[in-house]
Amino acid sequence: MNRFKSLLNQFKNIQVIDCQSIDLLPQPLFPSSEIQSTIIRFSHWTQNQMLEVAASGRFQVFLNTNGQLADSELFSSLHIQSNPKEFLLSDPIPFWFQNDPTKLVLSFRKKSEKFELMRHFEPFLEQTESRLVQENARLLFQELFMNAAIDAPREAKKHGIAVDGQKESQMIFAYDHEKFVLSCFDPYGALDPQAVVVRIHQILSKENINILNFDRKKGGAGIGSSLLFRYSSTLSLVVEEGKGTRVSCTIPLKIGQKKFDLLEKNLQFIKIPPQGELYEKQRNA
Amino acid sequence: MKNNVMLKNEGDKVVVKLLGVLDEEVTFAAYSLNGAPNIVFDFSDVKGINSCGIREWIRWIGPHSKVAMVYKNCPKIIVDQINMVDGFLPSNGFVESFYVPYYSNETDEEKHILFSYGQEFSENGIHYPTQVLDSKNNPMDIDVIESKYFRFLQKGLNKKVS
Repeated sequence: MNRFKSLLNQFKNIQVIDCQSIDLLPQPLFPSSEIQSTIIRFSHWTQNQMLEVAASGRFQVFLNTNGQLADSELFSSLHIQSNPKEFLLSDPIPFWFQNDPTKLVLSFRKKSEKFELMRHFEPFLEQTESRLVQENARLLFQELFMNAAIDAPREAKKHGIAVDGQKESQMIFAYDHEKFVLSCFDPYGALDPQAVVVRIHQILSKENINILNFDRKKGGAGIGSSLLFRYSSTLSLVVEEGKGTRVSCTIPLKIGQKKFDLLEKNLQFIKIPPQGELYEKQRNA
Repeated sequence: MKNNVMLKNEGDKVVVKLLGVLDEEVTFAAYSLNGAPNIVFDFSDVKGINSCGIREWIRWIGPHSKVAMVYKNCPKIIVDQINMVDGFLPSNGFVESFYVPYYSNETDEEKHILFSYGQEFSENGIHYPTQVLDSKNNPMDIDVIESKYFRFLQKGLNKKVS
């Protein structure tokens, strides 16, 4: 408990609320110069309850208190919430790992580079010696790459964000003794994280996924985001429009499939506001 | 064109072997299933799938609702989609064999055991293997939430068509 309090004291601008019952969820505090953001630490919520609250937009960070990575996920989230711009645009590895992990960083510009990335990714992945991590990470890699190489530039053009063939996207893979992290950065910042969470909730609240975007000739089937959520224990989306999007997924090591399926998932999504907007709303409130 | 599909005629059936990762580059449409009275899909060499691959799969097999389809050697990633995605296993489809994860708490080893129709499962339910052992001869536990993983069997989605 002392270690926990000591950790929270370092991040006084982040409000952490423990919420064992969804009925006790408070109203969100508006971001101010004192409170930058709020983390909800939950236990014994259903997945649907968590997604429903997330989709409402009332809160953006949900961490379960029960998982084997609970402490390290809290540590990561506090750092990310305190410095989202640095997490997005600089080296994100120190935000997840307190010691040096084993890592692989791959840059790319075009979807035709996928095979080359996989040629490096596969042997790196096999070092983990965990079948669950390997199978989940392969799927996550596929979705993350497709999002960055195909969906992101397409969405950027729709939103009038310049698509420069020279800008690089980047995939980062890293692991230590307790977790494996995949993170993909694209230089466009066209993702709407709230819309992604709403979509995940829509899809996973049904018994079966109906592929609603079935008639789309291009792009994914609309279920990609739900696959990212399903095959990771933590999904993190950080976006600054026009600057970049970072989508990150964590998979715990040394865990069987059953325990993984029983995990309460963590979710955080941040849209970094334009300069000054954070306090403008407070002044007008 | 990415070569993920191998078709072979064997008597009254077409055997389709899927290979590698079924992703946005796979072109199922280039392979015609027209005229095949029975189709067997072998997933033993499928390494992965993404949301585009899922969509293209459903689009490819969807028009053949009158053809008996058998899925065999389904890895976990395919079983997940069968359970999660409407139409991934169509109403005229039948899973003949699929892999089930087992885990050893003693050694952290993972094994995937093939469950086959008529042996480990049938219309009467699931007949678990007597013992699955790790490399140190410790018994391994089935490593899935059975109500979820075997959902496609329990909900009557898996109907053998003779």
